[in-house]
Amino acid sequence: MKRLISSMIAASVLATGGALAADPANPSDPEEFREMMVDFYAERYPDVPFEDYNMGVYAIDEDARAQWEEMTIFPETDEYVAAGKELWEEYRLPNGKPLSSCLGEAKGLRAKYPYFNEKDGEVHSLGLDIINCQKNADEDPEKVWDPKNNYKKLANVLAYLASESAGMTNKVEIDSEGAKKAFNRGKEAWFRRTGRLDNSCADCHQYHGGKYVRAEHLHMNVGNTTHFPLFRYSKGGMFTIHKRMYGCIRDTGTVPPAQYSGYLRDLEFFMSYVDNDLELNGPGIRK
Amino acid sequence: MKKFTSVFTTAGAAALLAAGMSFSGAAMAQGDEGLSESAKAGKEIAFGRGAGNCLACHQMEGGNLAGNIGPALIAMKARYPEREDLKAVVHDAREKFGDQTIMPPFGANKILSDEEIENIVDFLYTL
Repeated sequence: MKRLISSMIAASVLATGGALAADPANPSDPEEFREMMVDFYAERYPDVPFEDYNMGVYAIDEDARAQWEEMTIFPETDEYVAAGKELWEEYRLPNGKPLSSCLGEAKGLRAKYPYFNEKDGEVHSLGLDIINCQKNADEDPEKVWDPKNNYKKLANVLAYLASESAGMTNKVEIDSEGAKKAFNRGKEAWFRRTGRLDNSCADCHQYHGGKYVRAEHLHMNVGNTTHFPLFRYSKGGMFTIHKRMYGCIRDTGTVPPAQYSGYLRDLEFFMSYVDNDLELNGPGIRK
Repeated sequence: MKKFTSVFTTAGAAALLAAGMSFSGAAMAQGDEGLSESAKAGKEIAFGRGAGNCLACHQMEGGNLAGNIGPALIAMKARYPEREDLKAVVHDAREKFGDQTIMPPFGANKILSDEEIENIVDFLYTL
């Protein structure tokens, strides 16, 4: 039955582009859809309290959770946060001003993202806003912290900024037609099948969320954004949410959209909105 | 501390790798008796993490740490008496299970060649 409903969601999202209101399985109201996503999780794992969803697979696997808790005793993320703090405080734009002159103070900054900007009609991602601050101040292109040239600096600063919003509540707002459209575009991306594998985000992380791929759990459809950037033991490095989405879509066997492209920002917006009311807990750690 | 962690993880990884290799090596040698050359090739594709990677989702005899997204691959001859039917599922599972199946269309999307699918089917019929 659950499978049937989810198939209906996917089919109707694909058929309508996620925009029509007629089908009750595909409400165009973001809040209604968010509740469906949370219910989907809750039905599969009725014993997992809502506030645990931001732990990813550790919310549903006791043994893995015990290992994970050990990882957080001397967290690998500390050195990234320290490096990011130093960068945030010491870096100066070509006009001699710090990044805070462009973005505001570090405390609580991450908690304002992602958001829909009415002026330019786009979803703003914290990483891209940092990059744009530098570009708009005519920073030397090679020194801009874009994912291609200076990924580590970008990831470090995002780790620091995540730590400065840790403990706050994720509250992504949708209060305009434009924001609603961006959410629905992101929703479409979540259900769109890509690549040689012909798999969507939802195929693995919703319909089959919680099951095993080889020895690893697939994470579920809620709680995918609160902890970014995250340190991945398997890769030995810090991953921004855009690098992670890029890699995941690439692994379906396609040429993925660029990091911070409109497509991935809409997807980030959709997933972040679904994560509303969860506690921000970045920078995170995963196996 | 950082150094220690990396020493530990490297040592741990090396030990795991060594253990895993010897284990799967032993399993291979043991399980491969009586398999045709084609079935052996199919097993390699099915267990490998590259193109086939069947073990990621399906449990199969002789495979360690299998996923559980798809059904366990057992009694294949009884379940698919017609070879063409089994081949068709590997080629494009959407035809049998519908558009919403998560199983990738290995043949239709050219993830595997026809020959590789034949190898896999030969191996599946030993299960």
